[in-house]
Amino acid sequence: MLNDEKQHRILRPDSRMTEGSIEAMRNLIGEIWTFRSHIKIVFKEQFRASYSGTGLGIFWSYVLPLVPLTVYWALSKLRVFPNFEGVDGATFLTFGVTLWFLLAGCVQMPIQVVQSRNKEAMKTAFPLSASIVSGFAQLLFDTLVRCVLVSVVVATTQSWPTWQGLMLPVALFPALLLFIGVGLLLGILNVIYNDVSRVVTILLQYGIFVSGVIFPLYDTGLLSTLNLFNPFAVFIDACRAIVFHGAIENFSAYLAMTGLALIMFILACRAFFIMEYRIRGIT
Amino acid sequence: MLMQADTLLEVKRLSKLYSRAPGTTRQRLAVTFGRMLLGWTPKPLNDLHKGEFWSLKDVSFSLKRGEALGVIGFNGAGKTTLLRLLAGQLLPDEGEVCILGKAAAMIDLTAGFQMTTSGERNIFLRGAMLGRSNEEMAVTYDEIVDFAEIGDAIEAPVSTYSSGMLMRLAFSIMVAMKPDVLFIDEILSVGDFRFRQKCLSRIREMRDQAAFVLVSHSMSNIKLFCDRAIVLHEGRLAFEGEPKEAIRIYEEMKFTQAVTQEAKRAEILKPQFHNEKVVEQVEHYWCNAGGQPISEIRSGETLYLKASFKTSHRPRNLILGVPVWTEEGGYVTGFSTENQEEGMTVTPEERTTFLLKIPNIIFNPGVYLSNFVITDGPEFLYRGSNTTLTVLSVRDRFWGVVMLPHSWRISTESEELS
Repeated sequence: MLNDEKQHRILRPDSRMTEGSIEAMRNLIGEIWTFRSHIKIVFKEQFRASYSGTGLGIFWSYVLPLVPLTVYWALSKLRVFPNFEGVDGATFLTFGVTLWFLLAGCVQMPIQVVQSRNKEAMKTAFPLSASIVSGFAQLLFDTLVRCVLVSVVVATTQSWPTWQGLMLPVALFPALLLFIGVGLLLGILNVIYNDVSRVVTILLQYGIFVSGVIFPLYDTGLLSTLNLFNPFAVFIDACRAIVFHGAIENFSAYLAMTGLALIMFILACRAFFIMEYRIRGIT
Repeated sequence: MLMQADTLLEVKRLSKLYSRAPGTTRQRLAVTFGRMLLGWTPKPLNDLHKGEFWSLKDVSFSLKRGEALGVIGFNGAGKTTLLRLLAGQLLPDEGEVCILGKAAAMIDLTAGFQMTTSGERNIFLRGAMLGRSNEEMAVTYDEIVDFAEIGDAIEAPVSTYSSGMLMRLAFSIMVAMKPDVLFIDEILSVGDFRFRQKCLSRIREMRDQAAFVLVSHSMSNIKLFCDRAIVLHEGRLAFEGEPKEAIRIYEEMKFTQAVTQEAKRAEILKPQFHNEKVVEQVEHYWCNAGGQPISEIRSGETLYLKASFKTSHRPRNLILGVPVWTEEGGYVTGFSTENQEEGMTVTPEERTTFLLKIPNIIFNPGVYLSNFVITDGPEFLYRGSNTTLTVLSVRDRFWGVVMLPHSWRISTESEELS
């Protein structure tokens, strides 16, 4: 008799390998939904742990994300950075750096979470996908804190955004998909080759200076051409343009990157879904 | 996979490969990752790489509703790996596991618990992990708390719970889920006797509705509770059948291992030698101050070794020695009359007794092997083993083989160490 009337689970060496991208994404979303309460608790725990034992407590959670921004703000006040593209230097910088930290965080967060929680995932049945989401919650919090500072800078410099700036989340969405996808793939690769996380850290340290975050790259020759293929540069430029000028100037590059982002995200979700079981316990 | 009527769990040629070399594991993972990106299925495992071994190999069995299967074997036999594979925490490298219905596992006591969160909240969290809504959990909440016997502590963070309390809570939640298949590791060894009996009684109540896989070192639990048992040995299925027979085979294996242990000890203590023409009536043993033979002593007590023998002639340079090893063969120390200021001598054909005194023995807890050796200069006259000496613990924590007398002092910059 075939016992197929009830939930039937088969585990084989090729389990999950046959799942398509859509099925993989559906399963990942299902996992995250099942563990939503855990995600909330893990985020709260990590949030508390980040300042526990300190004298100033929660104050640090608000101050630390702002430190890099305030450094650039101070530099712009010293006239190290002039006004760019009709936008005040301080606004240009703090806005770009906020986006940079958000997008770079999307790459780094999955790598860090997979590295630190991989062994635990095998024992606790708390999937890595849920751990990554709780990590993103922290990233989101840091970004919101930075956004408050950016708003203050905008108000003080009176570099008012256009009403099209409301479209920022939409413009940013494909960038998030792309960099989360890259992060998921690199998170798996980092289990195989431990050097990956270090290489990524170095690349991102340099990347901020060559991605149009701190200053525009339209007059830097080869770099400006290369930046047509640099997704950080394309998305940050597009987001800045839509907020302060009301339109994406290089729309074709943005569109191409959006297509790439969708493909990357779908592929990465499938790869992560398949490999998650296989990397468990390997540190 | 086709399953027989009422079969809830079917395991076919289940195998899991592990590696002692992390590089090998990563190499295999890299191949799997590459094949996955190309849309290919995993490569069959034809050859083992350096450092790889089968933690589990070709294990097959099935389980019907109402059945309980005991899993026994030595440490490292693959019992927990088997449970992790059955529970879906790991993927097999060969073979397959087929489960019909809801499965729940109690493998790690703290698994799935959020340690900083209250017991109450954890009940709902674990329920969510097992696919239960908060409403469904609310219905069984009182039953869980009552069964766990945790009382008001249910509102405290689970990090404050004892291992017994944690086990009770984990078990109570798990049985309240009414799973079709339940995998239980050694967890029932935690907690007091009364609660363990309560757990077994609850499992018995659930017997008709579910199937169980129980890993235990308690042969009485296996005998009393299981209908069938399997014996795992070095990852392979050594036996499957009646629990009584499985236990007999396991005990036999234990005896064989003990024999092997004896052989290992003999290897450490060899060579044994006795020149009976020169030395006879040799007696030697560890003893207490009263001269009574002992085989156990506590760290810090005074240990004696009494030895007596008769020689046929007066040795020119009589040396007595007692080399000591750990059970693993590590050479710990030696006690020799060579360090004695006055030379040792014996009267031929007269039985002489020697007493070695070791005050305040500083060996850490463990089993120690030793020989008693008589030499005449470089010539061995006798080399025989003493009884095994077990040093018992007097402190909770210790490191290495010996604990040298020591103390710590503390001072600040303004103070001087005197």
